[in-house]
Amino acid sequence: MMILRILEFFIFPGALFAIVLSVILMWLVRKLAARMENRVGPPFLQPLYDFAKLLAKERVYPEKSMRLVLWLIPILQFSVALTMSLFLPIISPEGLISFDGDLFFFLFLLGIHGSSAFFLGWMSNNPYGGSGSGRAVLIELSFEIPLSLSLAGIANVARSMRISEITLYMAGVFFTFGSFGKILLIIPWSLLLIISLISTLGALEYNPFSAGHAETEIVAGWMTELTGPDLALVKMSEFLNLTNLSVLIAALFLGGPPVYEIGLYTRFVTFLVFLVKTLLVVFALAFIKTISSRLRVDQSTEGMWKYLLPLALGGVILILLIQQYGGA
Amino acid sequence: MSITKYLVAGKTALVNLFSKPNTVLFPNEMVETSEDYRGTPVLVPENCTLCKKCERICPTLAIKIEKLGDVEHQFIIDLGRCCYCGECEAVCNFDSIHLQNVWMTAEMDREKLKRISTVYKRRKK
Repeated sequence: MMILRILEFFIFPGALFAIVLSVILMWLVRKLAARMENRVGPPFLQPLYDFAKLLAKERVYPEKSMRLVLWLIPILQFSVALTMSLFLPIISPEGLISFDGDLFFFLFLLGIHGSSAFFLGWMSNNPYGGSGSGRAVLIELSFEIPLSLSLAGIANVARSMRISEITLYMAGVFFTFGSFGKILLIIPWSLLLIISLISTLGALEYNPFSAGHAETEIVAGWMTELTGPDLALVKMSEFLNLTNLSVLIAALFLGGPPVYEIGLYTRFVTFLVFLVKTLLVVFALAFIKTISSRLRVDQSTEGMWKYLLPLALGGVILILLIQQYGGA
Repeated sequence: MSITKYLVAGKTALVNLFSKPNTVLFPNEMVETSEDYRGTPVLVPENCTLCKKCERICPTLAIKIEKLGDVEHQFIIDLGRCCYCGECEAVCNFDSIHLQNVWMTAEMDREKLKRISTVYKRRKK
């Protein structure tokens, strides 16, 4: 049993599976974006080729930079992203790690991941890195609160702070449209879903909020001075974060892997349903990423604080009101 | 950017998703050029009367007509100098020079860019 448990952590549905899934999802995002822009797009294994090539390259550090930080933070980002992937409900509503309040521990790890980018850019003694890291941390500060609020709203619907319990509740809610209040909940649900999708674009530094590594302007932003394996780890943690956030949104908003009792194939069907829901979220992300153009950092911060945050707050209050008076 | 522009962009993206990509796999396929594309100038030696109008009008001195024998002339079009302006085609009264839609002209040697053809002077009737 012990060996099985260890295998679960390291192979399926643990670390190795998360890495494979994130490479595939990254390819899917790139391919979808390319097809929507009328291009052909990369071949299936391209993200893996990129990763392998970067691993084989040498490390080059700029003068007067803090080498220890440049060496440590990619490892930190990768391990944080890998830890986050252990919370994900993949073959059952319960992730490998599950405890009360793990939703907010997940968000805490996301915060660590985002703010570590600031130190990376700052310590690399490069003007592009410096300005990129400043932008990255501004966007990080702006999307974190709407994302947390929208997830808090969903946690309120399920009356739990545990990812597995929220997933179970949301998987069941589609079949039990009992009262009028529950149908009314669709309004704040869709509002919070859109808000969390937009905030996810900020977390992944995708297109409307990609000012942190604006390619034509500040080279690669906070990762300008990264080379070789360091860059590979940062890229891989970016891939992993795509998986983490899309699976989390699929779980919390769409119900993730439900529990159907179909005898022998229960786990397989659960896994399949999970995949379909995740792909839906990834498609939505790629779609928004493609149709939008990059905002300036002040525009994106303003948009998040002025419009996204009040909307998220309104959604949470709407949920509380419906629960109080609608009998949901 | 207003919301309608986002809607238009979204519709375009969805249409593109289900249509054939614009990308062309170059050495095997090529992008089709338009009818009046100005590519390499090609001489039709049968029509040429050696009036040398094209040699005079060529702004980059790409056309050179050299006398070899009594009736034999060498008509040299140097693609390395040619700027594909189409003046020679416009000035020719006998339809003997055309800018065709051939655009792959890369060579390893500059001398190979010279397109040489022989023109025989016609006797006056």
